Amino acid sequence: MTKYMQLYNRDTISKCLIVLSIIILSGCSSWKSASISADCRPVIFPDYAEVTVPTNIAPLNFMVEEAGHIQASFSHEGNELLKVTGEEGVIQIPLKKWRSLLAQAAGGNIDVYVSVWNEEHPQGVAYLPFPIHVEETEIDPWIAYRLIEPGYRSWRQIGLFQRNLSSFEESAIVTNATDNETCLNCHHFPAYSSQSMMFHARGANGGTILYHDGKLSKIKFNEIGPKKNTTYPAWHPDGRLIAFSSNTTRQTFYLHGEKPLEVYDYASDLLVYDTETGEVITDPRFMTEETLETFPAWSPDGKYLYYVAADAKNLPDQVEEMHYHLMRVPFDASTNSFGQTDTLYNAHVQGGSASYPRISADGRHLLYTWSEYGTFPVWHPEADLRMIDLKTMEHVDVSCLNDPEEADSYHSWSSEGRWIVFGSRRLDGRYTRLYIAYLDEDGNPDKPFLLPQEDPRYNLWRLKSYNVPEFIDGEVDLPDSVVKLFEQEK
Amino acid sequence: MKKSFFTPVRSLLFIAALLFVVFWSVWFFCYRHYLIWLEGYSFFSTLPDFASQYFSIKEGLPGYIGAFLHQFYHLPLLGAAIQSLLTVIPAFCLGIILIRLFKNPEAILWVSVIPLAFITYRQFWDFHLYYTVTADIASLILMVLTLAVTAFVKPEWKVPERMGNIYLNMTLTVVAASVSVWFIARDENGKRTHEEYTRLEYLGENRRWDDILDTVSPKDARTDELKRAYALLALSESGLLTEHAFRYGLQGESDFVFTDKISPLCLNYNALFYQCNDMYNAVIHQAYQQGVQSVTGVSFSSLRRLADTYIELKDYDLARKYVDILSHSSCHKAWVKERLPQLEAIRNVKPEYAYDEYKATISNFTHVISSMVDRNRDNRKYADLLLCSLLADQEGGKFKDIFRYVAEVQYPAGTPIPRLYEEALLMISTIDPQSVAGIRISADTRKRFADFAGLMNSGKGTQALRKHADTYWAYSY
Repeated sequence: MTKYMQLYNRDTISKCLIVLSIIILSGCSSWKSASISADCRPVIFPDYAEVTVPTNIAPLNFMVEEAGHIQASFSHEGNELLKVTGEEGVIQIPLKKWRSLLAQAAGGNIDVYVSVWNEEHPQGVAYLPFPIHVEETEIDPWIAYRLIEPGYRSWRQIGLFQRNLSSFEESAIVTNATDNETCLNCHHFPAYSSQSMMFHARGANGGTILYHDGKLSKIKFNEIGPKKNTTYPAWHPDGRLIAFSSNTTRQTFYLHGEKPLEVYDYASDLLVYDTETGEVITDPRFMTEETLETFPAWSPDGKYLYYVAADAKNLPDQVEEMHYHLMRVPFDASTNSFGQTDTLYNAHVQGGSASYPRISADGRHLLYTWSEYGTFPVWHPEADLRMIDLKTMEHVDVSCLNDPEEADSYHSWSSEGRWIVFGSRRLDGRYTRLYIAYLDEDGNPDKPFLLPQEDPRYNLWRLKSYNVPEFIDGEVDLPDSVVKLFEQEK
Repeated sequence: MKKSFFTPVRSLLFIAALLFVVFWSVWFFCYRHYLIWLEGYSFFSTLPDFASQYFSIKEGLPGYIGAFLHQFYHLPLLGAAIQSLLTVIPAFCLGIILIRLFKNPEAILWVSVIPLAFITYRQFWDFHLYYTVTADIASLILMVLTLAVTAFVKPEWKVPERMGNIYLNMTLTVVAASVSVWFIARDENGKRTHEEYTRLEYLGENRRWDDILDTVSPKDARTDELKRAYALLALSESGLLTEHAFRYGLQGESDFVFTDKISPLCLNYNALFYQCNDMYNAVIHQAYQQGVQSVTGVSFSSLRRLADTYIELKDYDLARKYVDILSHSSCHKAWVKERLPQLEAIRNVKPEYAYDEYKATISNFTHVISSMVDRNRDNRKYADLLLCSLLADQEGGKFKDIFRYVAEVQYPAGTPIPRLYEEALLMISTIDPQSVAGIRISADTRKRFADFAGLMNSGKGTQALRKHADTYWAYSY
């Protein structure tokens, strides 16, 4: 009996070892060969084919719809550097290996070979490779944005968030979670610095929250200077001044049509706040009822203030006649005074309406949002990005950034001026998602790519819109007490 | 000595089971539509955003558990069971604790029933189950701690003999249990009304218009604006608005849609109203607004409505988004399966948003419904909504003009017109005789109007109003 038991055990153990080895080996190499080769590229989501990425971007995870098993191999100059497999058609690239891949491919291309197993091709289909160009320039490590339900009058949870572009780390800078009532908006940073920040808190205990030189403060603009609430900010590069527009904004909701609403300003003026003296600087030219000025933006040297302006109309009836020109005015920071205004884009002559002027770090290019009319392009499906070369005052073709059917709107330049991040509704027409694009020194853009997510489907499932993306040089760490400045008592 | 069948543990289980049945009966028979409504008002998803969002707010883990449980409330049988179980858990835990701590726990077991009252006191209005689940978690932790400690150290505590009287214990148990049941069953802060509202919502969502009219009496409709709104919608959908609008208390255009109420019940009603009338932008608007009222800014009922509306509009991207999101909850598998073929059918179709060269805005009801009448001159429902709201607002002149506009297609020569319109036109004709020119007014209405006018002119106003109640004439006086 004992002998038998020993034999039995030895045999069983051997069998188990064989089975275990098979399991381990098959687990280690679930890499398979597809039986068919397709003569086309795979349709992947997000579309990362032929995009240009910085060397410090998070893994470009992607998926093929209705696929089961999926394989992707990443090659550079003919050398296979990384192989990734996935299920449910999703490729999730390990972060460390991706970074190493980017480092090796910097300045060149990564060729991505995708094979897919699905109902149509149960034995697998191998597609032609698509390239990803890796630009040697890095991108600012973080972006800040607001997450908000996309629409209408009410909100529940609003937060200003930040995302590490080199990974998938996302964290809240500040939210209204303690009261669910305060509206937080228009966050801004001086010269990409994560050490200072401002945002507006709207509500019974609201105001403009300023975090500057390590100090938190709340400014109630309706109680100082011309006693006007402030809206869109632009922090002067020297860090002392912040230009604001002061807007009286309303909404109209449409009963029919794809565009559900229109947002417009009854009035808007420009003013400048001095963070050192607490003074509000105004110029009578920018405080009239006849002209509406909004969306201020400084040139990188701080010598010009760019903005858009339109003639006041009878609103909302004449909202389609609101056409905003692109303007700039010289500014002398030593005397806090403005010079003569200059029209860069005359909407009456050239048509349409301009929003969000933003100047590249080298001061050469001005990117703005064009729409048929009005001042809130995010709800305008026709809204597109356009760019002016400030040297030649000619438009540069940036059409490859735009979606022909849905709104492309808010945008920001990176600190070294080679990258932009912008909001687009091209995925579904309602939820704004962030796209990043590379532009060469002449301003020629490459195909934009969707902000990478750990699970690519996350871009589709998220129930919040991204709002006002801004590049920053690090992680913002506001004191916890910031909430006390604006939270409303229940 | 023969051991009693009712050991302390068995007694506790018996009490807990009995209480469970009682609570279940109260929830199921008194508040079943409220339970269904709770499911619609809540939201749960396995998507990463949802968990992180919940853990960043006050409701935290208890709220997250509550949201998970609320998914099952679409079956009121199950919802009532969960509500009852959540109520009984603390009592059961306390009972176990007493059994472990005392040598003669049967003398003090009634104490375990006391926490029930604290839970049931606020359970109805605990929309996120925050307090209920918190109490459950706390009592479970206490019980586990007690079990752990008493596994090593068994206290020899003893309840005084005089407290061991079985009748005293039974009486105290029944009293404590009755108080807790009373807290649930009593009609405090409009709980019954809330149940009635949620029943109307349920009937409306299932297009059971006759049942709504059976539920809401004209007297109720006159005194309660939400009930009135549902009754008027039911009349409109049943084609009876022109017969009974004033009987159900129509007083003005604001009775059809809520413009300044942000409660989920009112917003859901608005969304349903617009959905019944194919005003999709307004449906989407109201559904978003309704979702925002929920703790995470989105709710099952708003998501379902958004998904269905976008399917209706053939907007594949958005419809799929919401269907996908709902597929990440626990109880929408069948719902999603039903919609997958619909989604597939609109996959490569251009969305069908109605074009409007006049860009009509969603402002007041008259403006909105006028736009619909303008676009759909032959649509009887739109015309009735507009004409009745004009009558309610005593806008005789506008009524006359718009009636003429729609009558050309809806009431060609010789076609009988609805009673209310006949009454209104006859009344207007006393000032503007041309208003009835070419319009066939029935002999019965003429006779009744003559009778009404006769009584009014002879100083018998009260009698006239009583005899001709529910007529436009009575309303306008």
